[in-house]
Amino acid sequence: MKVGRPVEGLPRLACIATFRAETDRSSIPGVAETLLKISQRYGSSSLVNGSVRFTSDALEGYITALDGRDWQAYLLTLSSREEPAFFSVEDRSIYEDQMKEILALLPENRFSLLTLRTGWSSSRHDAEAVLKRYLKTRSLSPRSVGVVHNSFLATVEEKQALEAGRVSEKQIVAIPFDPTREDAETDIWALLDDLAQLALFRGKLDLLLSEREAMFSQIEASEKSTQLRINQIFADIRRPPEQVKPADLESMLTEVTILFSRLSVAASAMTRDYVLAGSHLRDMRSLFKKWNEGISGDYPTNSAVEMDTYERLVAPFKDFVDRVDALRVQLNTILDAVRTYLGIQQESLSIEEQKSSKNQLVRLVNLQEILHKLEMLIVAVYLTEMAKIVFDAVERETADIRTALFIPVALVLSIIIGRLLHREK
Amino acid sequence: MDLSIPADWFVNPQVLSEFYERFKDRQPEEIRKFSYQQGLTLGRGLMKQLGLKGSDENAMIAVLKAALRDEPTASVTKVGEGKVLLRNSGFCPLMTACLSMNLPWTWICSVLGWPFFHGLVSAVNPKVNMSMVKRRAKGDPYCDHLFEIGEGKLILP
Repeated sequence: MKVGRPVEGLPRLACIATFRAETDRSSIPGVAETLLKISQRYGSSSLVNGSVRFTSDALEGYITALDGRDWQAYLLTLSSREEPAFFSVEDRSIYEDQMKEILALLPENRFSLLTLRTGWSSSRHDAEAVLKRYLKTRSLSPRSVGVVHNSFLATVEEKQALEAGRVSEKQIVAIPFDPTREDAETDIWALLDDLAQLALFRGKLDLLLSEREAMFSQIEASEKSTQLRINQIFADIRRPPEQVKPADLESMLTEVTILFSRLSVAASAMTRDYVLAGSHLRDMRSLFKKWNEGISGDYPTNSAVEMDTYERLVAPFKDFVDRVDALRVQLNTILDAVRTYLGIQQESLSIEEQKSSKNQLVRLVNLQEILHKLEMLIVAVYLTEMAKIVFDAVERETADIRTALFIPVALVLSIIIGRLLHREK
Repeated sequence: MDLSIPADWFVNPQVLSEFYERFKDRQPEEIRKFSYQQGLTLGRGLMKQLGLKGSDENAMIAVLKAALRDEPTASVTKVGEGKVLLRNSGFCPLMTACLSMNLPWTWICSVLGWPFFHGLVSAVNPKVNMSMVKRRAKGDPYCDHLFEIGEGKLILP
């Protein structure tokens, strides 16, 4: 979204305030509602195209809402209606009081607030002197200083929202050095445009970060207890094979598979967020690149310090993914080990089964041989009995001797019959 | 009341998403009542299934173990007369499911997780209090749910 140059005059004090649209599941008043409230507060004001303009004494106010899906952002500017040739940044109580009044009309639970105070000077040398005098008078030590849009830009104070409920605040002083007031106005509005863009990017990043804060805070503990469990499983696998039963391995496999899939889901979801945070980071880097910020004295530039801050904000996403991945590698090793172990156990079971089948086969063959022999004996007895009947009928006196002599013949005949029968089979 | 959310809701991103969409604009106390009833219904079903009769800590342990039988990060132990501790360590299944669907983990814990388990154990003894002694979302090493005989309250942190 482009702020452009919505009102005439040099903004002497500007604020960009952001709000979470939903805090702890409770909604804040909508943008239209808030702007209407401000417009009603300043009776002579006008509400056009989602922005409020009003005049009060020597001031001209402008309030507009910036884009933001899950949060709201407002840009508030106060300009002087008078036309002094040059002015410093020192005497501004009239602006500060007015701004406090407008900020109080915005929703509660502010998420971040950026305050920009401006001056103006016709030469670079004078602008630097104005900035130094301002910092000295207020006993401020700048965090970063640089030259952007023909202006000296100093970030003098910053409070990061590291804990839930704390507001992120930033105070910036800008002194354009332009020969005409018109040019100074152009530079300050261009700067406000960029700062509004940065507030939007930062808002998106902060929102993502705040949603994942609880997950980042538990990684240490979860990692430690998962590591302990991994060590226990490794110790269990290292036991002698006869002590590890297939049921134990199966339960290990189930547990490790559940843990592995859980970590995979966590890693891929956090990678998604990391990619998203990286895209916000790229947008910011691209904007700072456009600034091509010049250095001032020994101070680090604003863009360098800002980028460093944003990179540090994005780092926890990558750290989370790396730590979870390290655990996944170990779980994968366990999965492989358990699978190998189960494979070995199955193989030895199958070898034992094969051995047992072979013995059973030998026993069956032996039994069959015995049955064959028994079969031949039965046939021989049967033939001998038949022969005895025949011998009795021919000559009763010699029948017994003939029968006894016939027994070897009967045996030979039974062998021949047996072979003939089995050959047919 | 029927059991309208499955017993394994805490590992089921689909169920959690539907729960969020259904309840995101309701008052937390109203959602907690629903979640408590869901836990109570499941607890009663498990008691019937397991043939449990008592109302002491052993019965509480049996119901919790039955409800969490496939969850490797949960352990249930007796910590005193009439006191049972459900400890979740490692990566929270609910956190992972919420992370994957971009759902508010701590909110779901507070309106679904805690009242559900309170209801589950209340099936054994309606006078059971549940309090969260430790929470991973706060950076503690575990999530400790302490159940003890009292006035049947869910004591929120």
